[in-house]
Amino acid sequence: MNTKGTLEIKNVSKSYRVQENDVHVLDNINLTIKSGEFISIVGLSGCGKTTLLRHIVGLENGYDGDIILDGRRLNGPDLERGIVFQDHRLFPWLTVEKNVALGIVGKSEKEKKEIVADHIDLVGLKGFEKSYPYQLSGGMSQRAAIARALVNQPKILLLDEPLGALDALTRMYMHKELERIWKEEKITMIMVTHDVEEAVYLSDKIVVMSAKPGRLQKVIPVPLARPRDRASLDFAEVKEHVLEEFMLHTEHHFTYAI
Amino acid sequence: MKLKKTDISRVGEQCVLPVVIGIIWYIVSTRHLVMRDLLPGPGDVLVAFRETLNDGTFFYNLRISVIRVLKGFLIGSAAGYLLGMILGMSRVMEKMIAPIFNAVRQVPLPAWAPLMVLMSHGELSQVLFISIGASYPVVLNTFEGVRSVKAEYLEVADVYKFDRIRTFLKIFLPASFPSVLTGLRISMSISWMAVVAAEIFMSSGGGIGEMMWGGRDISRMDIVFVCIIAIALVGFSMTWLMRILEKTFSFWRLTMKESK
Repeated sequence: MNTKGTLEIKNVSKSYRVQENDVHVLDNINLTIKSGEFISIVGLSGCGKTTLLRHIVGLENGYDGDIILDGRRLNGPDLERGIVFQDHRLFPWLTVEKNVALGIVGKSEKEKKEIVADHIDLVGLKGFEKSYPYQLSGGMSQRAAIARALVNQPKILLLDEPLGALDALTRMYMHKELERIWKEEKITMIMVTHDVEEAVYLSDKIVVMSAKPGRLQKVIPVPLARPRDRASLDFAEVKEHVLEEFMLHTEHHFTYAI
Repeated sequence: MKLKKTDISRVGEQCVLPVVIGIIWYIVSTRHLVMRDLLPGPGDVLVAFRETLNDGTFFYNLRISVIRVLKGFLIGSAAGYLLGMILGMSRVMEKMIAPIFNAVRQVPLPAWAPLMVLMSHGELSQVLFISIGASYPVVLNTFEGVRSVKAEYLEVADVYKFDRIRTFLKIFLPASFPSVLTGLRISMSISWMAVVAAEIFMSSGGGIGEMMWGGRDISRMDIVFVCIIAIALVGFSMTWLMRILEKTFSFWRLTMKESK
């Protein structure tokens, strides 16, 4: 069994000083993510979910507590952790192919070519290798960004609202694609989102965070078989369960009528 | 959506004003509203043009000026690019060099002429004079281009563990390129103005500016006019060429604005 990509977050806190006041962005977060799991972090804006993700990838430094990947405390970015940002952040002056190749280091040109071709194939962008980002739709750009994040075969892929800027139908389509890629690559994925349905569709566990201070409110397991059916009763139940955490559920005074 | 105008009608629009000016010029000169020695008519200028074509002076001088401007432009913009990059990439260098640069930049270009003349009275001083003028826009635009690189791209560099050289080659260099080209275009038009000034202030070895000044010395306003029109047309074409280059090489920036 693959044991790579186990992430332990232990007593992680982070605060900024803003005008003599300490603002607690993250307050004592504890969470263990098992190898190969798909985790979603859901929460309102400002709950620190993106900050937590940026700490995991290593773009922010200085925090209390420990973030441990496979037994090693994390400090700064590393090629074993990939990230997909909300804005695709492809370099507009490079073709898809060259953008995807950006992440690769220490490989011969031939290997590089193969890896790039494999990953462009994986995300379904075959035929667009020579296209520039401005020639791609939002969904296609995000696919290229996913390919770029995966070329180093990271143990963990972090996704910061990766589908937030896409239209609803493209997003649903990308859910399927993301699930397929997750299954094929067998890696741990952690996604920040505020789309509850997206979280239920994709995750093994949903982590609900509350704001001010950023705390871990609840971890909700999603014990549904894949591929998941958005229209099923079970799906709706889990979704309702998550929404309850935000006081957004509907009160059912009558369970049946007659 | 705006309708795209055909090229022919656009060229037509652009020709209206020159034609009107030409007609006014013709009327003013044929009615002798201004002394003919001061304002030759279009016909006189054409005759003078043919005369300078026939004795070879026109292309002889034009060629000298064009080569001279290219020398000054290349030296000035290369130096400007280097300085702009250094200032853009290093905050320490910016603190050290920027104040002096900004002070020196305030000196009007013609004010450098006496110094240049003292240094040497010939091609070198003229080329240096041009390159001073050519460097400023390249320095400023290169600096701007480097500084406006998005922090988001630098985060990507962080995530993929780019070293300094890779960050420079993959991000700063290409990201600043469109802005550099804008600088080069402005620099080209300043260089062309500077070459005429250089040839007047430091006349030696020919050139279109010297030819114009020579025309003035012998009261041949028709030759002066030939030179003025030639300077205007050549400058216009150079800027137009640079604009095409700029559009070609910054396609991703121009189209990005439309698509996002």
